[in-house]
Amino acid sequence: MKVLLIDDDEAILSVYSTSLKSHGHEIITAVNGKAGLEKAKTEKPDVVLLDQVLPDIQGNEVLRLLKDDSETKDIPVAMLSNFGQNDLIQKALNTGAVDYIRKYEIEPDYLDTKIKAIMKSKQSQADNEQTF
Amino acid sequence: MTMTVLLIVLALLFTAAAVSYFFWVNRQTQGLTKGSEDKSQIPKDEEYSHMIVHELRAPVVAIKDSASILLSDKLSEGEEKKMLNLIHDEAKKLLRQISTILDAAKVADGKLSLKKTRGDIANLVREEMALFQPEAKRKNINIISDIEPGLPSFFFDNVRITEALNNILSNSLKYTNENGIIKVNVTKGGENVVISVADNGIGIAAEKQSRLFSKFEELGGSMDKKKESLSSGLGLYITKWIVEAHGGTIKITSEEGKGTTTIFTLPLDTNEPAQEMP
Repeated sequence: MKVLLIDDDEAILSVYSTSLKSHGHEIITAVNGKAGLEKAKTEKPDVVLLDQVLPDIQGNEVLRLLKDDSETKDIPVAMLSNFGQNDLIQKALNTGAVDYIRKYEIEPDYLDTKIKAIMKSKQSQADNEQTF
Repeated sequence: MTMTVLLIVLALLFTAAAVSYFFWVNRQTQGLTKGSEDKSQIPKDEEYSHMIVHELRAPVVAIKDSASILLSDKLSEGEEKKMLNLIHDEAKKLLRQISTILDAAKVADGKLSLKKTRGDIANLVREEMALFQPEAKRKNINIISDIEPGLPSFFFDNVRITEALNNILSNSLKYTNENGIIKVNVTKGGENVVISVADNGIGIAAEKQSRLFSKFEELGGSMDKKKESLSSGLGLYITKWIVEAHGGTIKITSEEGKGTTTIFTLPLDTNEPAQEMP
């Protein structure tokens, strides 16, 4: 899968990229919201992993802009964060995130499992829409 | 090697957990105490705790996950070295963050003090800039300096001024985009040395500028609407204290989208400080 990873923490970008590449994914990275939005349009990733807190545009706003744009609205976006408060999770899910991943609760391999589950769910949804 | 990494990771995790727990309990207790007089303080205390925990989690997560990948034995030799370097750098970051939190608590309690010795400010600036060059190179940011030759030595707290400059440079590097530039100038201005750090980064919104030296708990708004790291959220609060305790001044000017300039002055104090009584 082609994964766009948007996070301003270079260490996390490096760790998650290394892990996901070892599972065969192609990784594109962006260190802020503006670059992330641009790469979502130009690179057409299969899935976006988006940090909640970014230096220029906040993760939720990036999410909203992705979902409002016809070119990117169908790309599944999973939020990443070291915040774990329920109100933040609910807000992200209401804005259109397919999941909210608390970084401190997972092992890096979990991202591969999660991406595969997201893509499977997207495929099932597409199949259902074709049936009807 | 694996055992060493594990021991480092366990020690760091324990340290971070202990500090997080300490500040959580401390702030919660303060919030409850203040709450009897002013209920509005409670959310701020909670938010402070959330921000501290969030910032401490970042390097701990990176260390934990790097160790996890190393233990999987799936990496090439080059990748293993990259992960070990990352653990080293993030451990240093975690230690700096713990110091920042403790210093902020000391400033708030009036317990932080200066230890002045005669020093060479030009040398300090050069050494500090050199520490930031590898990260700047990775981000393709150019850090350049213009240091007036022949600046006299004077008395200042070497450790604290290094900390102040570190906080300012950290912010510039964090908020400057790829291909950006950071200019560091050191000049003599009257009876002061004037140090400025100017970047062409993302800048700071006008409404935030008057509150830059406050602790992030006081900035208002909800956590998902702002981005303050410990270096900006607490670092500037401590930096202001350090500069003013030396008798200097600090000022930040910024324009959103164009960049930020931080200028601080230090008096050229040539009088040896009185020895503290035991």
